[in-house]
Parts: sequence; structure tokens; C-alpha cells
Amino acid sequence: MKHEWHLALGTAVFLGIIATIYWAWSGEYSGTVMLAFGGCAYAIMFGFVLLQFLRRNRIPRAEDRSDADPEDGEGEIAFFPANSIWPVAMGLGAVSLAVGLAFGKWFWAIGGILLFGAIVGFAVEAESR
Amino acid sequence: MNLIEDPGPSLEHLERRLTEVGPGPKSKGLLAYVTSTDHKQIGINYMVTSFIMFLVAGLMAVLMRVQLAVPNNNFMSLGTYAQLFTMHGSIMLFLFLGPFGFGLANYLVPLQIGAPDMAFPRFNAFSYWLFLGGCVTMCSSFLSSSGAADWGWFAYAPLTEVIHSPGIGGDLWIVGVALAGFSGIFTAVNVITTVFTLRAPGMVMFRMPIFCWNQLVTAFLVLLAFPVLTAAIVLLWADRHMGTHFFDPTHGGQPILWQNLFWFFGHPEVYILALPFFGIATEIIATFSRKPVFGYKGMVFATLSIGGLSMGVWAHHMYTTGAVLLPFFAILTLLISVPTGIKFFNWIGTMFRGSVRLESPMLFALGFLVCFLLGGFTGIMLAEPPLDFQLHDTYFVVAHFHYVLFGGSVFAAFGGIHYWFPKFTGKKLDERLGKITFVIMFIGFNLTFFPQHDLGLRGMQRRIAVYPSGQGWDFLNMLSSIGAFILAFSILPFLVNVWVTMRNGKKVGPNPWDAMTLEWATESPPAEHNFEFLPPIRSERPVWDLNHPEHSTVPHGRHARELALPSSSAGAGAGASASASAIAGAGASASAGAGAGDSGLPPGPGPGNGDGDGATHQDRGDDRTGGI
Amino acid sequence: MQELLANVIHWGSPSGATQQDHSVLQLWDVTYYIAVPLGAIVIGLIIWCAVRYRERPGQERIPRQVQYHIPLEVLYTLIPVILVGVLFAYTYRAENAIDSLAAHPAYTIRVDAFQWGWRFTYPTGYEVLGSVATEPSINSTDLPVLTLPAGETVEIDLFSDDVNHSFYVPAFLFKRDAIQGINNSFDLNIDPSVAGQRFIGECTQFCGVYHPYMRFWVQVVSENNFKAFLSSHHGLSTTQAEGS
Repeated sequence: MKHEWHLALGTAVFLGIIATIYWAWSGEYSGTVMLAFGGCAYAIMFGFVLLQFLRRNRIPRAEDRSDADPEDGEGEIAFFPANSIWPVAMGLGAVSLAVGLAFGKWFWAIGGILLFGAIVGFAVEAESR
Repeated sequence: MNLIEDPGPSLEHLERRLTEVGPGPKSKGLLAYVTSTDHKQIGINYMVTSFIMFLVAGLMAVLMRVQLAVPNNNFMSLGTYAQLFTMHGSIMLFLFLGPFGFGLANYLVPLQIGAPDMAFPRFNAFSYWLFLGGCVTMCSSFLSSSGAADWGWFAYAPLTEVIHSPGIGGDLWIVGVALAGFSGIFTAVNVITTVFTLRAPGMVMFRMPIFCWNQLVTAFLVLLAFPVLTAAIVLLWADRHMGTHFFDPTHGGQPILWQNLFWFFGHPEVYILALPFFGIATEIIATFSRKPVFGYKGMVFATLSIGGLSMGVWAHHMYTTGAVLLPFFAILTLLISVPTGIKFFNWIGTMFRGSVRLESPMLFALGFLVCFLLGGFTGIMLAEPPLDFQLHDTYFVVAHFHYVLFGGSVFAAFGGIHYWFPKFTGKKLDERLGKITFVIMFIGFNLTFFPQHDLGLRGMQRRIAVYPSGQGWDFLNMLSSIGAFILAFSILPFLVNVWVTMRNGKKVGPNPWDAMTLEWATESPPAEHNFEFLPPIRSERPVWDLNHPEHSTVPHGRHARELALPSSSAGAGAGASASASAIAGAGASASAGAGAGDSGLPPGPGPGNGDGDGATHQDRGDDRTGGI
Repeated sequence: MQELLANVIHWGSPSGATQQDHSVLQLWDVTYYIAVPLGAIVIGLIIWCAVRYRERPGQERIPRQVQYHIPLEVLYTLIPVILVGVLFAYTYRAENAIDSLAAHPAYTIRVDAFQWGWRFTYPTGYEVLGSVATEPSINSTDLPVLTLPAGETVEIDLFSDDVNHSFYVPAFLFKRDAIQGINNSFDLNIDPSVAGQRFIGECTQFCGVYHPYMRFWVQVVSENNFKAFLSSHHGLSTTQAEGS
């Protein structure tokens, strides 16, 4: 996981440096805030990935070892659901909600119900595996 | 051995990799398609939908060029023209190029890193439906009574305030952009998580294909840029409908704030639209030169630099406002040319003394190189504020960005389509039609956009529906319009090619191009959950190492283990068994390597690698790993 | 000879009419002379590789698998950095020359951009107003005229009444945006050699339907003629309708 947190840290530090130089040189608010917030966002990512790295006591995963063999990756990896109706239902709900901004708030009734129901279905499906 | 048609040795002797598949009924037909969470299906969905958007927006462009072919033309009204240039830009950028890149990422990143799917397959599907919703919303705005948004794709305030642009077309534009934006953000989350957590054993970060690195950096940029856009359009919405005055100068608002917010998104956006396509070019050039990527680490460094620097240059779109710190943005923008130059020299280095096959993917990649170079140089000119004061908002800028976006990204996209079509469908596109497409497209593209540089130098402004005669602009505009028709026409042989191939194309095996990366180790198209068997991964070119072990560049030394090829493997070439045992002999004396944290050993041996522990290695004919 | 070369490398660009333009053209020349040879070399290399190392059918081979060459990579990293430094130096100089505002300009003229026309206000209070009529013709030459003196420092104060516009005179190789709520000031030092000439001006920031019609003339006169112009036009507002 080493390179992953390197990337996140590098991004956060780079943005922080650019934000500092920009603020010192121009004193312009919006650019500084956007750069600084971006740096904070990647600092959060860095913190999380570093935490994962440390939690595993620095034992490299199979994909971090350059001498790993395919059989080292055997076993369950993650939950990969096959077909599922919930993404398209969520999509319909979210799109309806968004379009309701333009069409009129009454459309939110349709979109809201769809989206809420679909989110519940989505979550329950993961639970029930 | 026949290098072109040989798909490589059979994979049966390799180890199996088990994955667990989630629950779910096997549905058929339309329901199966709509409920699919397979990254390959979703990738195809993105690519097909975005290509249709390309054709729609391309048609708009052709209509605009008809209007501009002669001076004082009245082919269309001013209002229609404004809608067309707004929607042409918005659709091309938000609904074609970006999502096409995401579609390729969806299809290829899991395959290239040896994963069974993306990290969040259902969320991935949801991203696609959001994108489709965005397409429908944006396009439906043409049907509203006041027409589509007509304020330019960057939607400058205060023109976008409700007193200047009432009408639901603009609101639908905002909604469409929001949907496409969220789709992109969710895809980026998926890509980053997949790359960080789902790589195959042995696929360390520095063995990922350059295409994956580019997609990773793109995803990093998306996470930084799109939320800012979303925030900006929320503020715009509030100004239009909730009585706020963020951008309204009559009540203390700041139009410049919109520009800052928008371009903070807008500049990384154009790199989001470029980086995946650089990745395509890298893959094609390496495969079709039969050589590894030259300067792999330099490429990674360059990609990261381009991504990082692109966050700090947004106000070079605002030089003429008089409200930005010119030298800061000028120096950072000029500096981006350095990593871009590194990439160019690495591409050339990949081809140099290679065995260059000029088939259609490679032709498109070469077209990409030439056109992007030109676009990059005009970009350097525009990066300099004194020149930008003359050229901003003229056709010089239009020429510049079409050279980098069309001549660059779209050419590379067509190259990618021709390259990966056999992988997606199991059939290879017709080579002759591919070459015809390229030639007509290259000629049409250059004829359309090269004259526009001079139009800009002669003072023709952007976004004008009509221009007077006697300015010295007439001939160049006519040339450009003729070119636009040639360019549009070039899509026809491509569409015919796809149609004919899908109906009658010959089936090909897993690796018709003798390519190098992991997606070519599985069937065409890949089975559900991608890999039944995975080869051992010892470099950034696992399939090449498998097929051409005698030309492999797997380093010897402390942290490399031998490729376990039994001597009976077919098609590996005469010298394979001898090499295999030679490698095995060398490896036996190598220390097992406690894996002590050195997970990032690069495949290309740095100076000194290979001497590390005194392991002997046999000279393998005229191939040597490493430098000249 | 030099003029011929300048005409070639400037393509269709006007050759400049203000003092500030000298630095602009110099910067263009420097950038061009760096970019064009460099571009030719790179394109040449690309074409060379594609032709020289072409694999003819039936002659498949696997070439030497060269992966890196550190000294070369360092070289083509450092040389562009140096070139960027050179370009930035010229840029910085030109930028300061163009953007600097004289403490005491000879004349200050106010320009207001609005949907869809221009209003020019001279130091005497005389105002020229020109806007698009209801049925404009793009070929109309009846445009509002901005009269400017040559050989003196003129400060233009640029304002907008409504949306963003941009004040662009191609002959001056210069534009500046007009944004409501901001006074964008810039200096022009027009060369005496162009006194008597008339140049076109355009709006280059999309500002709504009649954006293409927001054009104006810049009439350059000698300093004496300008003094005469001012003394005969003061305090009066005239409206000039454009087109129709």
C-alpha cells in the first residue's frame, strides 16, 4: 500500500505548496480556498490509506509483492454482484430528482420515492448476500 | 513463427485464480442488459452512448460551418447559432470525450490489472445511468420553447443570470452538467479504489500499464475538479432561482468569481479529456513497435506532473480580465510543456529502432502525435499573456483546442477503438476501411482547423454567427467549411466498417495484435469475471513475457522470480526452454527476498539492478534489458 | 528582407500600431523561432521512425527491447526547462510593458460596453454612443468612432453596463475584458506613423444575440488634430445609431 499513500500524500502536499505560494503572491481568495480544500481532501485520503497500511502491519499484499504468484491471490476477493435492478432504479430516481429542478418541484415526488426506495434496495441487497 | 496471428501459448498450464461471484439470478435479454453490473457491459454502454453524442454534436458543428462558410450568411438565425455553439461544446466535452474516457477505463482498467470487475460494480452501473440521464436532459433542452442554453459552454456570469438568460434551456443545461458531473465523480471513485485494492498478485503499482496510470491520474483530477464545478452550478442555480446574488454585480456579486470557479474545474477538465488518450497512444505505440514503453518511470512522473501542474493554471483562461496574477499562471502553464515533452520523446523513443507496423491503430496514434504537437505549441503561445491579449477569444484559440482535443484525443480515441475492437467484440475491424477513415479524417481535420489559426491572427473573434466581408476572412472560412464536410464524411467509412465487421467479421483469438498487457491474456471478448487463468506478472508486459520469453525484459536479481514455464509450452519459440532453464538457473541462486517492503521495484532495471546479489544470468542473444 | 521574414512568420496578423506592440511582436518572434524548429525536429523524428523502422509484411522481427536511457531522458527534461525559462523571461518583460499604467497619462477616455454597443466619453465630457439598431447589417460601416491621438499616452478606462464584453482592436494586438463592477484600465501609446488611419474594433466576449454586431472604429489622429477634436466637442452628447 506504500505507493498508494505516497500518491495521496504527494498530491496533498503539492496542492498545499501551490496554495501557499498562490496566496503569498496574489492574495486572491477563491483560488487559494479551492487549492487548499483540494489539498485537505487528499490529506484525508492519505490518512485513510496510511491507516490501512499500518493496520496491516506492513505485510505486503500479494499485489504489492513483485515476486507474488497467481496462486497467492486465491480465495475470496470481494462481493461482485451479478445483475441487479437497483442501480438502474437509483439512476431513474436520481435523474428524476435532478430534472425536477427544471420541471418543477412536483417532479420531486416521483424522483424522491424512486430514489429512496432504490437506495434501500441497494443497501439491503448487499446485506443479504 | 508467425508473430501476427499467433495468439501465444495455451494458457491451460497456468495457475487458476478463484473469485467468488455474488448472488443474483441469471436474467435474459433486455432485463439482463439493463441490470448488468459487468464493467465490460458498462464500458461498452458508455462508449456507445458517448459516440452517439459525438455524432450529434458533430452535426451541430457542420451546421455552424455552413453558416460561416460565406460572409453575411443567413442560413441560420443568431439565436440558433448561439445554441449550437453552446451545445456543441457542452456535449463534446461533458457528454462525449469525458465519458468515452470513463468507458475505456471501465472496460480496460480491471482487465489490465488482473481484476474480476471494478471495486463497486453496482455503483458503477448507477454512474452510467446518471450519465445517460445527463445526455437526455441536455439534448431535450433543444425542445423547450426558448431553446437550448445559448450562453457558451463556459457559461459566464452575468450572462447566465436569469435576467439575461431566462428560459428553461439553461436550467436543463445546469441539470445535465450536474448529472454528468456526478457520474464522473462516482466513476473516479471506482477507478481509484479498483487500482488501489484489486490488482492481481505481482501487479505492483510500477508494473501497471501506462494506460492505467493515466486513468488513475485522471481520476485524481476528477475528484478535485468536478466538485468545484458542482458547487459553481449550485451557486448559479441559486442566483437564477433563489434570489441570491453570488455572481450578480448589480447587488455586490462578482462575475469574476464564476470565472475562477469554472476554470478551476475547466482546466483540469481538459487534462481529464487528454490523459486517458495519452494512455491509449502509449499502449498502441508500444504494441505496434514491438518494444516496451521507453522510459516507463519517466512516463509515470510526467503524467503525475501534468496532473499536478494542471491544478495550478486555471486563470490562463482569464488573462484578459485584468484580474489575475499573470506571471504565476504564465510560468506554471509554460512548465506543463516540460512533462508533455518528456512524453513525446518517450513515445518517439518507443518507436525508435522498433519494428513499426503501420496498421490503423498506429496510424491514428501517429496522427495524434503530429496534431497534438501542433496544438501544444499553439498552447505555449497562448500561455504567454502578451500573446494571449491579442489571441484570446479569437479563432486562434478555437484552432488550438481543436488541435489538442480532436487532433489529440479524438484521433487517439479512434486508434483505441480500432485497437481494442477485437478485444471488445472478438472481431477485428477491416484494415483497409480503417486506413481510409484515417486518411480522410486527417485531411479533413487539418483543412478545417489549420486555417483557423490565421483567422485568429487576422482578428476574427469566436462565437460570432456572422462576419462581414472585406476583412480578409472569407477565403479561410470557406476552406475551413469545406474541411468540415470532409471531416464529417470521414465518419462514414468508420461506421460502415463497424457495421460490416459486426455482421461478417472473422473471429480472432485473445491476442491478435501480439500485444503486451494483461487484457490480451484472456478471450475476446473476455468471459464474465475476466480471467480464468492469470499468467505470472513480473513486468509491465506480462503477456509479452509469456509469449516472448526470450525477448522479455524481466530483471534478474533479488526480487524477481523466474517465469515457471514448462518446457512443453507451445509456440514460445525455439529458444524458450533453454532460456527458461537459464532463467531458472539464475533464479535458484537468488535470495528469496523477504518482501521487505520493496513492493515498488520497477520492471525496467535501474542502473545497478541485476548486479545486486551476484546472481549470474545468461546473455540472451541480442536482447539486453535496459539502456542503449 | 527582415520585413519579408516578419510578414511570413506573423502570418495574417497586423503588424502592430502601438509602442506596447513592439514587445508583443518580439515575444511572438522568440516563441516562434523556438517552437517551429523544435516542432520540425520532433515531427521529423516521428516521421523518420515511422518510415525507417517500418515493418514490411513478411519481415516480422522483434527488435532490441530498449527500455530507458537515463542521460538522454535527463537531457530532454532539462532542455525544455531552459527553453521555458527563456520564454518566461521575455514574457515577463513584455507583460510589464503592456500592463503598466502611466502615473499621468496625457488623456483619459472612458469606454462603456453594453448590450449591444459602445459609449465613448472623452475628457471634455463629450460622449459618443453607438448601438445596434433593430435590423442591423453586419456589413454596415456606420459604427461608433473612438478617436485617439497618436504619440501620446492614452489611458482607457473600460466599464461594462451589464454582461461581460471585451474591447478588442486587432491592429493594436490587444484586448481587455469589460466586466460590470470593475474598472479595467490600460494604456495605449499609438505610433505616430499610423496617424490618420482607421482601424476596426470588435467585441470578443460572447454577450448575447447581437454580439457579432458590436463593432466600432478607432480613428487615429495626430496630437494636434486630437486637441482640435476635443476643443470642438465638449459637453455635448451625441447618439449615433448603427446599421439599418
